[in-house]
Amino acid sequence: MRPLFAILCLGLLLNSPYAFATDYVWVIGGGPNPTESQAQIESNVNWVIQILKKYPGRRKLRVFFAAGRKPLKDVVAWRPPKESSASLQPLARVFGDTMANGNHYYRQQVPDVVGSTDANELKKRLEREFSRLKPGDRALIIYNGHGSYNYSDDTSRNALRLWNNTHISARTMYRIMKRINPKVPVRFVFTQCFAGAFDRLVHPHAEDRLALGKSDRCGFFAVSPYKESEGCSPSVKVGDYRDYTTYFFAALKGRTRTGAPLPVNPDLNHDGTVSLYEAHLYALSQAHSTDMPRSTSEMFLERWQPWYLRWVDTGAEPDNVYGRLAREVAKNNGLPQSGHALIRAISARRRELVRRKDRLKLEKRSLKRVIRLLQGKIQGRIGMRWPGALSPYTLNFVHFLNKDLDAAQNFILADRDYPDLVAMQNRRFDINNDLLDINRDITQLNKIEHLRQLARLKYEFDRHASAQDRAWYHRLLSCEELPL
Amino acid sequence: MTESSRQGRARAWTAFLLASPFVYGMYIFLLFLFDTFAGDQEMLYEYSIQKSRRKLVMQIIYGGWHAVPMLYAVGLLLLLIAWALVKRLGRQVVVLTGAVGAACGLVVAGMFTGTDISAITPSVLSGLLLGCLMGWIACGIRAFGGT
Repeated sequence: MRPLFAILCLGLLLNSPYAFATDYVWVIGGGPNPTESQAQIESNVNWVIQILKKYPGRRKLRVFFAAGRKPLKDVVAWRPPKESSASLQPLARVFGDTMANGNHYYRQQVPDVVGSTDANELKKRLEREFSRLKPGDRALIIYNGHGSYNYSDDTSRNALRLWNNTHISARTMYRIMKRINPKVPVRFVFTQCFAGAFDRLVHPHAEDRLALGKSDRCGFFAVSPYKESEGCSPSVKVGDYRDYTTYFFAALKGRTRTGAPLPVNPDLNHDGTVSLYEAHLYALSQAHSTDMPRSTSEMFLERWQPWYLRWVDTGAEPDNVYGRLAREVAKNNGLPQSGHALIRAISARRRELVRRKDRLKLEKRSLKRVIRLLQGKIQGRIGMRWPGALSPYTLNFVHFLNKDLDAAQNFILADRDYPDLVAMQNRRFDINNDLLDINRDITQLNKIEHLRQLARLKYEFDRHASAQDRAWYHRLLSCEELPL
Repeated sequence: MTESSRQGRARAWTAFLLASPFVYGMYIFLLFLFDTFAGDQEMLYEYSIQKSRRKLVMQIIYGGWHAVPMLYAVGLLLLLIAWALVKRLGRQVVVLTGAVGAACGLVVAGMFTGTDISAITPSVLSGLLLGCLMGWIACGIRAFGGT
């Protein structure tokens, strides 16, 4: 009798729609062309794939990256070029783009790539694969690449910038995702510039409204629909990466990008697993970058806020998850944790940072002028001896490269203005790094204010929201709180 | 109706039409004061980061346009009260409608924006101002022989 019962149970289980339910993960990455397909994107995608493969549970991975399987050089890495004639650096400093001389193009080395991200190809593949999902399956879409902003103010036209300079807008992505069975929960992580626009995927017809669609969807975004994000460095120094992916997936992995232990435990509810929402909160509080990440539930709160509450009681400090994170970020940045002292300290620090930023920008502008002047002087002196050097992309230039290159480079190295040119170009490079650091510091201040605002929003929502609004919010939150 | 009473009535209606946007502007200004001196200085911050400052001001004004019809409705009610009582109370009606307006502001704050001092004060002061303006308009109408 017992074996018969077991066979009956097995039969019922296999016939249920949840039998063979699978977690599908689409990892889409790469730039729109070789010069904008930076090594950081490739490195991020490789790291994410590695984490997904080692993470407990079974999941099917579908990876689309830049040119896909085509044998094209679709990634650019940058290393500081050597200051020698062999690397043509003297010639590059006088005639060309100093930085571009450090670029190295190669074919992507992402494992298990199934196709290109060319919009025409990707759209068809995604539609086909999405339509195969059945109830019980779960979908996760991770995008790591560039994004564009639509200046008509209609953020549903913000888009993913895909291979071959093609695009998929938030609105088009919504249409593609319509192929997914409404009973399949869909989660997404968009890390590109202006990513917040893809929050519309949870609303009917990707419209800018509060109501949610029928299906359970939620997501996480590196920035708002109006801001650029970090994560497009051609540098190969992984320790320098500060983008949303780096922090978000570090929380899921339990280790930082360089393998060090995490500074804080991301498992806020101590249930033993880090949910995507907890990973997002970890990134929000720990990242020292220019990104200001958002989740769909947070954007829902912002959308919900009635006009009569927008500017009221902006000094309130409710003690909820966002209030606590605001205090943590303030503490990490050496600021008072609350009260008017915090606001005064933020204003003072912002003023100081903006002053420094303005000074650096001014210096950068004047350096640009002097660099052009020095380049012009040296170019003039070279042109008097080797006129072919002034006509790139011509036969004269080929002759120059073949016959006079060494002599010309030695001439440049011995030029009286060359040491000044090198010093100024190096200073300009350092200024760019300093400006990035200042922008990151300013973002920390903005983040504290954003978190305080979210804390108030959450408090107001708990007091004033209608039953329908609460149901929508909890649907988003429970979707975000699922583990990987 | 004499020429002066016709003119007086026209002025009163103009004052009535302008009162609500003026009170709304006053309300925003009070919120700005509280936000700047007792809050997170969000308005100043938004103002500093916006590329188009005119757009931000328009956004703030547009964001609360719903308030203006509400102010017209409350204003009309206060004007009717003032009109009904102005014969008996004379100029003292301004005090009465001011008090009723302030009470309305208190109720609206309690119902919608919260009970914190920075939420109540702008609402109550705006109600007071609206009430006083309506009382003053009623006095003006009476002075020009409108009642």
